[in-house]
Amino acid sequence: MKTRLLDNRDFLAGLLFITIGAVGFGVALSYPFGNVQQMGPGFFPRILGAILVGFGVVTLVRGLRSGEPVQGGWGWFPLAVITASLVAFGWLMEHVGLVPSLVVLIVSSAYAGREFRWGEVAVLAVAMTLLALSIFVWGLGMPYELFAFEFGR
Amino acid sequence: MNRWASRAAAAAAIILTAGFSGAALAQAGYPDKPIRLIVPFPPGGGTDILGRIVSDKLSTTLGWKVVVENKAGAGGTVGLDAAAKAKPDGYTLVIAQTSNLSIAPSIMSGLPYDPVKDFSPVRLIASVPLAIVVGVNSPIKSMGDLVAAAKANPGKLLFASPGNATVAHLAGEYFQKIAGVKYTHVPYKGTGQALPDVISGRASFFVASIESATAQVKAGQLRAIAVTSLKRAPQWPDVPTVAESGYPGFEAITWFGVAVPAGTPAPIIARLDAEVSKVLDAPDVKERLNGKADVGPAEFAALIKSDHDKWASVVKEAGIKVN
Amino acid sequence: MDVLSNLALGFGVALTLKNLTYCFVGVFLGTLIGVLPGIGPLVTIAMLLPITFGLDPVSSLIMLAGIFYGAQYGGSTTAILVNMPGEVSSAVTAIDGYQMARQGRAGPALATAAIASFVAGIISTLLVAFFGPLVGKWALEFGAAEYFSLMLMGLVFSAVLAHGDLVKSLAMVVVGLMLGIVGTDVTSGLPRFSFGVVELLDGVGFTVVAVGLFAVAEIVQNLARTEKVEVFTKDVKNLMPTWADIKAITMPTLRGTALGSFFGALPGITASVAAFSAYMLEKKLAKDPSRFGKGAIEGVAAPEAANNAAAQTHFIPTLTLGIPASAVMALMLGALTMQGIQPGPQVMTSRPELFWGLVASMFVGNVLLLLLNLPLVGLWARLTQVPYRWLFPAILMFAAVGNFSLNNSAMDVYLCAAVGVLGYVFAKLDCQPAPLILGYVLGPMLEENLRRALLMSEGSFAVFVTRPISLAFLLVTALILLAMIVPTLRRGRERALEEGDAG
Repeated sequence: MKTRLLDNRDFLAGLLFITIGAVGFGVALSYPFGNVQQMGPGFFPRILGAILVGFGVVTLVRGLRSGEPVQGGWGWFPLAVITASLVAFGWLMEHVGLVPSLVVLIVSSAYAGREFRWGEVAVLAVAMTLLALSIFVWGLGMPYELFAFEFGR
Repeated sequence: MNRWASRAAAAAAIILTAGFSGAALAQAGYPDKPIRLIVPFPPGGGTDILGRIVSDKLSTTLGWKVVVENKAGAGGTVGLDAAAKAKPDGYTLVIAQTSNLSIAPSIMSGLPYDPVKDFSPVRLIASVPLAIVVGVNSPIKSMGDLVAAAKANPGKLLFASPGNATVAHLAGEYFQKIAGVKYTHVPYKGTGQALPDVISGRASFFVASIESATAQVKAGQLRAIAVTSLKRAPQWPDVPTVAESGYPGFEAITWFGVAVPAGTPAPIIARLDAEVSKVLDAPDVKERLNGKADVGPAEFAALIKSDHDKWASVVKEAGIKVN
Repeated sequence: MDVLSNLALGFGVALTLKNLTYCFVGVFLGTLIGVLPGIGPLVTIAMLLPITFGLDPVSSLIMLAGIFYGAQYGGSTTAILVNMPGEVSSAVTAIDGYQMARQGRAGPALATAAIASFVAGIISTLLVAFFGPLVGKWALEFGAAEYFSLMLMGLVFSAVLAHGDLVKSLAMVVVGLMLGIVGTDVTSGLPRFSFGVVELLDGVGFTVVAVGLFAVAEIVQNLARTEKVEVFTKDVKNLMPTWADIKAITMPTLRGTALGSFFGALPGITASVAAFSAYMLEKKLAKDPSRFGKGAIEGVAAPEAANNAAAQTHFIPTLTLGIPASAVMALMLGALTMQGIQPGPQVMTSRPELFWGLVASMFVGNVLLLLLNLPLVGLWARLTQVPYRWLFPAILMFAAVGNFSLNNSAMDVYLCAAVGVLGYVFAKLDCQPAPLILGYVLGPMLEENLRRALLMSEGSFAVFVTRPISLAFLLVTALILLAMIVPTLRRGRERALEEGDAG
């Protein structure tokens, strides 16, 4: 069975390794290489980058030969929603305080699930916010403002 | 319509009053909300402990609510940057030290804050000399021996430090320059792995804060050959200073102080200065800090400046660059 | 040196009502914060430090120590139940523990973790009592060359024993090594791969990597399943391990204890390295290594034993030499210093009640932990019955707040999200996260010590073979590699892998 390249598991893995290795190697070119006696900060990353590109090529070629497809579909939707929820949480924490950030995080991440029921999510958001407050703020005394709304900071 | 107008008027009135009496109000009622004390290092380190002593005392003796906020990263840069950008209303303090205010400008080209323009120094709270120690079996017994050994084998002595561009590292480079000797710098990540190397003699000598070597010196595993303050350290009265070992004026200390963002009203700075000074006078704090190091805003600012100039020239000559 | 009379003195101190109470408070708090991801013993101890000023030194040390090893217990719970390593060192436990939980064996997995930790705690405390001072002296022999050879051995081990496809596992180790490079280079002070982001100058935090790679990636994977598959089996099989389980975990627990005790005594080596080594050793010794990663009970017992043993023996260099073996230990030293006690070798003679009281309290604390944790197993295991659509936002909440609290900075949350994306993509491409974590943990130490060793020897590689301890590690490494090359063994490995793939 022939697999499309975009579905070819090892081809993609190889490509990813090559990319990471090449970027690492490229960036490390600006660090002094030194020599074996006095290794510079560029020595290790360049060697590692080269090795990773090598492994990547092997993986890629093996992917072309075996044609093993990626198992199951890609979950782009949950991936995007979960990632966005985390990023939103981080940003909001620094601008509007803990409580609104938590509510946004819980509600938006719950949206990534298959079943989304407003009532349930509301209860969950309240419960989780209270849990987080009691553990982190009241229990551990972490210095978070609950509501900040200070955009100037 | 009417409602909106009256609301707008009320709002305008509030803003106006706030504008006129803001400064006065700030002093009279200060502090009327929790003060955050930014500690630019993770919980548990020396800076954190200092921060907690200060916040604890201010809270218990004055009834203020001073909350320590650890904002660690990049040797304090992240926390200092956060403090620099905070509102200068007296509700944000920061514990800053030598490396943040006097060394960072010379070694980090991308430093996001300006140590002089962005901060008002409040009070110096501690100053910690460094110790120069060797393994107890080392033939080096004094600074004179150290210099002789370095001269006999240029570049062969191994100088261990707790990290690149730390005060300890710069102190070692500074001494190289002053004594006209050459040795090889071996940086460690803190003191954990460095101490065994120095005790066993794999590294020739180690420069680090007095606290980090006291236990081993007491136990007879390390020998302290000098301290880097101008006067002998109270906890080690028998150990000579580098200055009295033939290098007058040699001084390398790590100091810690409280600073606020520039633009904080002067009366608030004065109030903070007075209160922090009282904290430092408390007997239990004095004991913990091993003597008093406190000086007020003006002298603190002068210290930042003079240390900046000293370390800038050392950094330049030794060719140290971090960012 | 009369250990027994000293221990008697110690128990006299530890068993007073006051110290028993502080010990209990310590282990209880430790368990609690261990369960919560992101909050480690480091933060907790730092926060509690001011409170301890009022206590006498022994009590405060007993409580703080309890928090530390209690957290090692608690960390495994979250790792097993929701694949989120609550503690750095329980990242390994998550690999097989979580699989066991999914198969309805959360109870035995949790109980195994508790029992293995208990056994390891007791044995390693005995080691601390009997050999502490001796081991302390021996640890002084470890210089850069020894550390390098030890790390190299660890990496080669990991490569040989990697799960699944060998090339991809090796590549993942390298990705981990590169991730570990991010941050300020210890030897030269140059920032690498930081791309001008100030927060990256300290590197990517372990919690960030572990939570992103395991917890966040796992959540996305579960949500993306198109077919309606329950994440956990509905029925929770018996809560306690069976006799067969007990038999299966006995030797792994003992081996894990041995490895953990060894690593714990070395300054700079974290409990997580010990846990990884123990896991890989078990995989090597297992008749059927392919079971690992799919719910092998040995894969829970060995690393849990190792990390708890390491947590206890961390006290050896700390108390006998005054050299902190880790950041938490540095904090303990700080606590002692503030009490007016200079830690170091002289403490054992000048303040025997302090050292022996602490050692005795570790026995007490481990018993308390077992009593505390075993009854909780049933309660925790029920947690897997909670519908996933309620569970995952909660997990995410802890991941987010926990990461934020590390440095009180949003950057760690952003990085965690990014690592989560990477982790998900890797998982879809059938690349294992465990080798990546290992490379990430060992890499910086490997590079730092290699460069330091060569700097100190003026570029002579001879240091690695002229120093006996280093030579021994290198010989073992060579033997492993040789065993790899011997074709019969190799074929055996391939067969095992094929069986694994088929199963």
